Amino acid sequence: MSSFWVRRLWQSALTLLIMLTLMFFMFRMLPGDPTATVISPALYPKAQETLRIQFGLDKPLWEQYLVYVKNLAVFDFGLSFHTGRPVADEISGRLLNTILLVFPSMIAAYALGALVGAIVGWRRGSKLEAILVFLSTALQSAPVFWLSMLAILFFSIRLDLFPIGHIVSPGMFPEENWRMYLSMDFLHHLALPFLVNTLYQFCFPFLLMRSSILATVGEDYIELAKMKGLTDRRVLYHHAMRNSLLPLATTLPMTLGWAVAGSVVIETVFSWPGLGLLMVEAVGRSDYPVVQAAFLLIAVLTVVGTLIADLLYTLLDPRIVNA
Amino acid sequence: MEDSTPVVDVQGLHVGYRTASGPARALLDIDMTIQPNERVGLVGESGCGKSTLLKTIMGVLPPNGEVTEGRIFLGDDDLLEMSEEARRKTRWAEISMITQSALNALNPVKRIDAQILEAVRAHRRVSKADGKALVARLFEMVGVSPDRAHDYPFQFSGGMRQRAVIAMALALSPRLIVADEPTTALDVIVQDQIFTRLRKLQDERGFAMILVTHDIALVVENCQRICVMYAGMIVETGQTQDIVNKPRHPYTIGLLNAVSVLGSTREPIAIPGSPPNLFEKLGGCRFAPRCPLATQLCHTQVPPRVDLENDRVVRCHHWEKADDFAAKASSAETWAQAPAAQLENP
Ligand SMILES: Nc1ncnc2c1ncn2[C@@H]1O[C@H](COP(=O)(O)OP(=O)(O)O)[C@@H](O)[C@H]1O
Ligand SMILES: [Mg+2]
Repeated sequence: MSSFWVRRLWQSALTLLIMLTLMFFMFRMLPGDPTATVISPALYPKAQETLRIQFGLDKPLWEQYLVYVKNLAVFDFGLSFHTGRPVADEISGRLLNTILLVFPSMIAAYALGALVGAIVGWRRGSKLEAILVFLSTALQSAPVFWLSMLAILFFSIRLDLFPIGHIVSPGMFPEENWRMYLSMDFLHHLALPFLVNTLYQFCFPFLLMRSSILATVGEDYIELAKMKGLTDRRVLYHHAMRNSLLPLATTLPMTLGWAVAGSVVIETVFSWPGLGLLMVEAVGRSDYPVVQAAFLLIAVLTVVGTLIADLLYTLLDPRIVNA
Repeated sequence: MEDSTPVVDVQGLHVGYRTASGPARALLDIDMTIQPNERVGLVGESGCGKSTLLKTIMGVLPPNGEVTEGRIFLGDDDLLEMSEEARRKTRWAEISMITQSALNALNPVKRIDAQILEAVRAHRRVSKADGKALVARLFEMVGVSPDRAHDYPFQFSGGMRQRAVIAMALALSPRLIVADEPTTALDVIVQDQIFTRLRKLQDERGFAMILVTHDIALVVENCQRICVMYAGMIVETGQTQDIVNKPRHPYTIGLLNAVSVLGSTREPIAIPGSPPNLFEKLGGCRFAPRCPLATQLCHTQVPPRVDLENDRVVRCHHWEKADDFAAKASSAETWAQAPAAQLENP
């Protein structure tokens, strides 16, 4: 492994350390005593004291911090204030639900956005181009919750095509297990939030691809590719689009963390039991260990996504040599 | 030479660009015949339409460019009348191009051998082994080690890139290679090596060539025939020797005057003024404002094509006064009599 990647990995590790440190102090600086949710002020002072010792809250802050970092290193996020179960267990199922919703729709949105953007940019000046550019710009600035509600109103309530929310019909899978994800019922529930998210995420790659294709059209190497007698399609897919794909392929992994964070809204509207909805619930219940772990997870996703973006860049652009 | 069929025959070609400030008339009534094996030089100041002419021949005019009149024959077929698919098949197989800027012409993220083979595969099937051998042969021809064929363009120096582009142009053994300022970006020594190589390749492989440049000295050195272009028109064409010895158009005389000759004490003088903008309606000779010989006639009537002996063509109302003018042309006062110069310093 080259020194570049070693350095990059150290940088990522450092970023994460800073993130989790900030998080530690941030939660301790919140107004009010977060421990009040588990250690009720109504308890006898003696009992409160016992609990405090049990949670390690009697120790000095730096010691608490060290314990916190040590525990994180072994993926021990503590116990949920609300359920008393390990946070890791609480979160993992929810994270899976979010990933199943967000990742496929991001990939679909980027693939579709890139393709449509490229074709529309290549034949510039078409009516379709004008319409799509207008719609994407409008859609991009529309609030997601509004879009989601419109979709529910129209497709679920008016047309009765999709369920209003949730991940499976109530009572279908009393014990949530992996079978649930293989059912038609799950897909049926997934469809509408997936479509809304895809539509919303489509705008950015579409607009980016279109404008970068427009910029390539006048390039000398495109002209040469045409002069070589390549078919129009080949010039588009192998030259114009290949080169315009660079900025897009690298933004996709970078936005993954952001997209997971953004799932808060869509999951809330669709009652989708993912990480986003969990965060909302946890904040409402002052379940800080859960909130903290969710935030960390998003930070990790972002850092890893950025690493993947760097890796992709070196793979896709031979001019970048990370010696 | 007269009775062989030309490789490419451009007849009465007019090309315009639609622009925000109205239509620009970039090419006017261009006639140009290229015989097999011939090296033709196309010279003129920048902006006179040289690249536009080559792009029209290659069929890659930008979307706002348009052929308004004329024909381009490749053998018996008019390129401008062909279906898009038929035209595509002629590209590179019949006419290939060495582009102005090899740096930007090669796709930066594709390997050079792949870019060459892509051109070949657009026209015929080639096995992997044959393809490799072909690229190696082409690289040897242009004097670059075949080991480097699998490199990316950024790993090549400017001269090597230009050679790679020449190798690419040779790949399908076309009948005509057009070269648009192929060495403008290179230093003089590399430029010389490249031209020597091109002449040698041409002798061995027998293709015709159009060499486009703003440097008339380069053309005199390398081409058998010259076309002199001014503001979208070919104002004079003929055999190189005839043109150098007896230029008939005042603009040609000016161009020849503007180059310094090694060992001569004569000071080079540039033609005063600048080319006209191409938006104006064509009311006369486009060179008239900068021409000391210009008369009322020149400002009101487009000069007709005059055919002279030995394939010579000139477009000037006063071509017969050329010898007289050439004698005085090396003095700056002569040029000061042009209408534009008079306006500048009355
Ligand atoms: N795409 C275009 N749109 C409008 N005008 C153009 C375009 N390309 C070239 N021109 C104009 O056409 C004229 C000829 O340009 P060009 O053929 O590039 O000249 P040269 O190659 O001799 O320098 C110039 O005046 C230039 O400004
Ligand atoms: Mg040019």
